[in-house]
Amino acid sequence: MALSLCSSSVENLGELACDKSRGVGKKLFIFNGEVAAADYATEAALLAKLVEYSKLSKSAGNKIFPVGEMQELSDSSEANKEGSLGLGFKAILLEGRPAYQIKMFAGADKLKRLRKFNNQTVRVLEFDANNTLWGTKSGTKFVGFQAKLFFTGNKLATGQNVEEGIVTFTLSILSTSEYLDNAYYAAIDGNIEDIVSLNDVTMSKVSNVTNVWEVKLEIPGSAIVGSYNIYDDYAAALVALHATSPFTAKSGATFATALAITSIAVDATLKCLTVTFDNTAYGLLAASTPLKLIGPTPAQMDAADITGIELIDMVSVK
Amino acid sequence: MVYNGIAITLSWAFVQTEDSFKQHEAHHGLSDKQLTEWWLLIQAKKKAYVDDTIASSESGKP
Repeated sequence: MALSLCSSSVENLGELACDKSRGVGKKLFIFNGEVAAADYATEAALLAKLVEYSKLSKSAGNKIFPVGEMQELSDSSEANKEGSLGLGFKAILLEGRPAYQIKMFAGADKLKRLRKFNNQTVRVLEFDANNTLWGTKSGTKFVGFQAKLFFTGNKLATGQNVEEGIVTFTLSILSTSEYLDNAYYAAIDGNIEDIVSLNDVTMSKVSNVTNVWEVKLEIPGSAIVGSYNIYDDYAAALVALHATSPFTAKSGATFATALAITSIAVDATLKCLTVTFDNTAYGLLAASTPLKLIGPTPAQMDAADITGIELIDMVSVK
Repeated sequence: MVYNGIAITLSWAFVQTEDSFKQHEAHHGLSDKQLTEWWLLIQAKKKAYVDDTIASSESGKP
């Protein structure tokens, strides 16, 4: 009889047919949130939850940010640390951490947005070409792998290869135990493209006549002549949405006091929204009192077919 | 509720008088006739809202 302690530290080495392993990388999602067990009880429930999370405000803890479609991927993992004895015996002392260099397409504006994540420690979910989503667990919650990202690009193309619009980023995994020993997957059956990216839309005061403000809604961009005004796309729909999911306003140094908005209208001349505050309440505010205008949430807008945007709160003064 | 491209905040409009409403929203460039029509539409909404509230309280629903 062999004497062994292995029974308490190892597992049998059987394998089920169709055991999964990571396929070619396809998509990456920055996801610092968590999915509760009840929400990943089925693959469909998990996908629905992630779709819902993608339409949250960027300030929400469970927000998921799709990075983009991987076009080319190379393994740039850290080498294992080896040790040897004097006569040549070698063994691995420390496993190298996984890392990848990934190419994707993105323009100058998106690159600027991606670079805000440079060297931040985030969590990521991987989606591979076999429609399998990979992450890890914290307790019973499904979470992403800890990682650092670094995006570069928007250099002059040389005309020798496909270089224009190519963004290269490094994905550096921080924990091999999470990434290898505690990886969990879900075979996604639905459309992963339903997990969407949103654009920030800033609201800014163009002018006002006492309590009637003209507010412009724009997607900030790199074009020096100006940002993209969403008036033609969504102004009328936002006005209609105000009837069910209203814009709100707050005043005061800590924005603790509600200020009634009485109406919202389109201004076709200025390509703005005309926001009218209650004139009595507005009149009682001291000059230079800070005001915050808060729009409907991305989920409310999405339900009204105003898709792909998040209205960023506007702060201005009376 | 949207009238001529203008969305009114009903919770605010419900507690206005006709005069205060018309005076407050006069800057949109609507005629007095249009403002009156808008006001009447709001009153119809208010009546429906009140009727709904009474009906649900009588049926014990929240």
